[in-house]
Amino acid sequence: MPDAMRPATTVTPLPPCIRYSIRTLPSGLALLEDLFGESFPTQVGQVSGMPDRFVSCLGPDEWSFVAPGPEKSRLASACAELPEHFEGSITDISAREVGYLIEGAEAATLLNSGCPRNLRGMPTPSAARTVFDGVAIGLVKWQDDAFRLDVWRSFVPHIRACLDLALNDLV
Amino acid sequence: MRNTFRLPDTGRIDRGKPVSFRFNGTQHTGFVGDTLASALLANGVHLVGRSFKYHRPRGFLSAGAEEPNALVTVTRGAGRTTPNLPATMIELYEGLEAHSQNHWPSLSFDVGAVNDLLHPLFAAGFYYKTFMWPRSFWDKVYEPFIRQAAGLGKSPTQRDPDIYTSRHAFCDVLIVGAGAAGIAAALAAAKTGAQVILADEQAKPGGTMLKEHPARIDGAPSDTWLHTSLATLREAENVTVLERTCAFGVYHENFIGLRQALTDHQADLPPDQPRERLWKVRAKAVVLAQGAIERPMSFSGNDRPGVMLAGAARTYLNGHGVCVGHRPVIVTSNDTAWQSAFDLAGAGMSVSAIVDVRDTVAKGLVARADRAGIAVFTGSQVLGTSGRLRVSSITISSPKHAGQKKIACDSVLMSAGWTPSLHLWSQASGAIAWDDALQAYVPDGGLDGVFVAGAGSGKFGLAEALVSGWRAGAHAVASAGFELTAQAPAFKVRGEAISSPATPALTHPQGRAFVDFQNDVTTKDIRLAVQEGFRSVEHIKRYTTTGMATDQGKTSNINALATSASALGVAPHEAGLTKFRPPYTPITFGTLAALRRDETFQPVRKTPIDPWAEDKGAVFEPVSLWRRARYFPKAHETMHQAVARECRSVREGVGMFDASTLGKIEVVGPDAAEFLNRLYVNAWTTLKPGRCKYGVLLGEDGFIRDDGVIARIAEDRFHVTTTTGGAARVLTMMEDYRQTEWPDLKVWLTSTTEQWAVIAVNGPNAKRLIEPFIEGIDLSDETFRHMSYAEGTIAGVELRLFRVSFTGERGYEINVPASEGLRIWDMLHAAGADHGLVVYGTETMHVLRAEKGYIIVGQDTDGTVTPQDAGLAWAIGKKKPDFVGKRSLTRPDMLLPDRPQLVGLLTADAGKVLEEGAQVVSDWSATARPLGHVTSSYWSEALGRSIALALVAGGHDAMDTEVTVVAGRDMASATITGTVFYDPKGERINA
Repeated sequence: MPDAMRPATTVTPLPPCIRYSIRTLPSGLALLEDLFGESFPTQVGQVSGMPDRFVSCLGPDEWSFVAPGPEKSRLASACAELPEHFEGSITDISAREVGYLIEGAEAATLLNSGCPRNLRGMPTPSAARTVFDGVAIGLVKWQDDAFRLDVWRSFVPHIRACLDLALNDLV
Repeated sequence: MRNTFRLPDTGRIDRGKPVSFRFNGTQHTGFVGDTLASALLANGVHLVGRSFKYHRPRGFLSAGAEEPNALVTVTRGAGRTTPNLPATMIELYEGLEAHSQNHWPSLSFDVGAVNDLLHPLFAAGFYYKTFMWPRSFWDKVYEPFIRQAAGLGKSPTQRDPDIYTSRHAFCDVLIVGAGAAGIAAALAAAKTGAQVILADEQAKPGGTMLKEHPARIDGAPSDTWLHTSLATLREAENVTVLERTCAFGVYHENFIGLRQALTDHQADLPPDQPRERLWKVRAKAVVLAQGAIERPMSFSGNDRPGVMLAGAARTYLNGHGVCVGHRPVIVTSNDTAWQSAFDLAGAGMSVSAIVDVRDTVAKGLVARADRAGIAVFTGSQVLGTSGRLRVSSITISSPKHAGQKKIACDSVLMSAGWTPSLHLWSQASGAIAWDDALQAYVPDGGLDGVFVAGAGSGKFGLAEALVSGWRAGAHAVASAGFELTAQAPAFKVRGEAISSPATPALTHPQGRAFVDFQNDVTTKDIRLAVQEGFRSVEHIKRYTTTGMATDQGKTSNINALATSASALGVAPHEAGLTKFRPPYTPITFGTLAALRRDETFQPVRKTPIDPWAEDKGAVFEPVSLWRRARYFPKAHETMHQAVARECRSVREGVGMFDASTLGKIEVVGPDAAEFLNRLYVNAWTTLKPGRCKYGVLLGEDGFIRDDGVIARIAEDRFHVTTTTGGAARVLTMMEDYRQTEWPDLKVWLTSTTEQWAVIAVNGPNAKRLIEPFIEGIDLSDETFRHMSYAEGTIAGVELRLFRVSFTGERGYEINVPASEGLRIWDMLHAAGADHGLVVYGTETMHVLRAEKGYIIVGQDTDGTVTPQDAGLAWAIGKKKPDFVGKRSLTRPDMLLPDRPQLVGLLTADAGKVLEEGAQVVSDWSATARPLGHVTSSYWSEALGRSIALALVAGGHDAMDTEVTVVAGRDMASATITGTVFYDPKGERINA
């Protein structure tokens, strides 16, 4: 496809959402699946759900759960009712990070300006905790041309500035 | 338009597009497709530079990246000055402005050329020998002189306005060099669907094919084959063709650096476009098809303008339609240069002679020379050349003419054989072997995932390049996991140029024959180095500086090696070869820095409340990666005045402080209390939910690593705070213990540093300020006493409230989700006017805590301080069986009475603020004992005097002792005191 016809690659901030860092033993998974209504994948990097509500497996006992903002109070009360015998940790990190949607034919190239992973070769969908210019980020690849990037709040100006500079490099 | 040396109907330039440019202020014209070198030669300009050491006049030696002589400075507006660019690699564009270097007052008359007359003085090791004595001259005379003389060109002095970018890339096969071999490799690899990157340093892919008369490949003209092949590759989705892209280094595991020039060749610089791009490529397999570099002959006067490589002359002729001279002489040791003679003669030049050092040459060549009317001298050596700024004659030894013969000429085209480019192969740790026929090293054996092809592998000629290229591409793509089913094309080549570079070993003359043209190293220098005892080629290189210039010895290393070997009396392969180091060609700092400049230089972490502080004119300071507001000066206030005002207001009314940077870790799980119990010195199992405690964390060595308040939120959940700088380190340490020491504990850790914005509210009016906004928490001192924790809401926002104090005043730490931090801050600030609210920064925080003797880990501790040393023994849970560092605390050395211990210091002169880091000694005398150093020191507004904390040997048992504090020439008397200067009874916590 000629360059002029490719849709431009864009970086769009995502609306605030609910993020939980979830840790548990295998015995706790069934409970969590009931609680959140999502299946919990057990291979690191796997994702289940849809772009606005999903669970990604980030470590052998670690998951990240993301849900739309309006679910906040419902989820909070659900968590409060976890049975005593639940062995694990659910920690609210909704405000810790800011999410971005990186979209467009050159999305992977743009992210590869700072991320040393092979993003074109990353399966769809899949998630990874990785780095961008030395800063820890969370990535979910939904499609070849659509990535979600989550980064700690204080690093946003740096990541944004880097991405903006790298956008020049796609022209 | 002069272009006197431009030939009609030759070359691959675009004659429809003339381009005007300036060299040393003179206007010239060239064409699109020219390099600066070819355009200057078309205008008869050979003199383009002065050599580094002797300031000898120099012209173009080559036509490529290996150019040692023709280094120029290109300027194109403010900040856009690039020195030391080889003119042979600069693409011509309209308005190009270039200048020669290393001369004064002018290129044709250079005062520095006096060095050339004094050359016996400047032999190898000149600097080492000359600048030794007297010692007193080192700094004042020698160093300034050497600095003045060192380096070529001038660094730009203005800020570089360009942007540079970098990207990571991944491919199955990376092919370096898009000549016939590289293109054939790419065609093979691309057929399998593998991801292929084909990179070439030139503006146009094609390599040697662009420099020779067209041959025929499988029945089609080679230019057509090239065009079709490139079109196929460019259209393929799985192939990326990168022009102007130099692979400059191979690192571990096929990690390869490419530097792509994006805009330098354009007349009008596109705005906001990067000038250069750094590619960090990880390739499953690599094909190196870098070709070979021709070697100059060593003879006296081989550096005169007009003396150049024979292949280069052919490039200028066939590539650019430029004849480098009307009366050239060819000097060679191999067949390839004969092609230059034939091509030039074919273009109508009167080739004066072919001088071949070999006694016998293939009859066909001689016959062809005869037909072209070129005189041939075999078994001849060059004795010298003449001509001041341009060669005008050459003198040869001629068996036929019984002695010497002088031949008039305007150019000398030489070839002493070809050196395969092994740079990247060798960097990839490929072995090399000496090839006697080539008199050069070639790749030896194989290497996992790296394949060589074409002249770079020692296989010369178009047909060989195509066949070996296809084969290397097939091998590479197979090693990357793809299957190539397509058959190789026949690659039947007809009419290719003479390509056999076989050469006999050459003798390198005794005189001033230049080996390294850029660093002015002669055969004589190398012999001298050997004579003076140097044996290793690496040492000879450093002593003579051969191969150490910006061209990295591309044309000189093999000649230098041959000269060294003959002087050492060994075979070249016994002498070895100096190491190939990246970068292959110089790259700009801009490319390497890429994004690391200005606001993207490194992350500067900012809190949610940072924009407010910036708006209010705060002065910031860096604390680890964070920037924090240090103080908030009002108009004309000095830091001292601002801090004094902030301190006063906190103690008298209320102060608000952005503590969001505090590290926070949520420790959750049934074993959370046990986990903390084992890590921190304090007792945690007895801490009730809703309470908090000051925790101290040690390393195994018993020394303080971190501290912070920890709240128990629930039976199985703790909110741990750490120092700002320690956040990541403490989490890592915790994870380490959790995963490796106590994997049986059911506990999990999550960093919540950035989940919570923290507003510390301190002062007698603190409660009055926050109370109206808080719901769900009874703030009365009976239920919410000092060191309490509760959850509720503030202005409707989720709240984690701590009753803690780092100032000694009544204190609350308001934790709200970071997204709400600024809003709550604004709200409290607006309400503060009624309560005498001040916003304070880290400096006031430091003063207030020092008045109370609260330590800052990393300032009052230095990694060798135990809790006992710091006066924190009270924090240790005495009944605990163990905690990290416990065992170390009772080692004999840890119990010595004269360990450095944290004490207070009050100066005799109350107005004297000691310098932090100042030495504490026993007395004024010359025999004074060193005791320790000042760790914190401030003016205390509350006390109306200075205060300091210090680590002093045996300090705890030396209360009221007088000591002396020394900083440089500054000395002061002080008395050792306790560390709590203000409100020693701690009554203000509830005031």
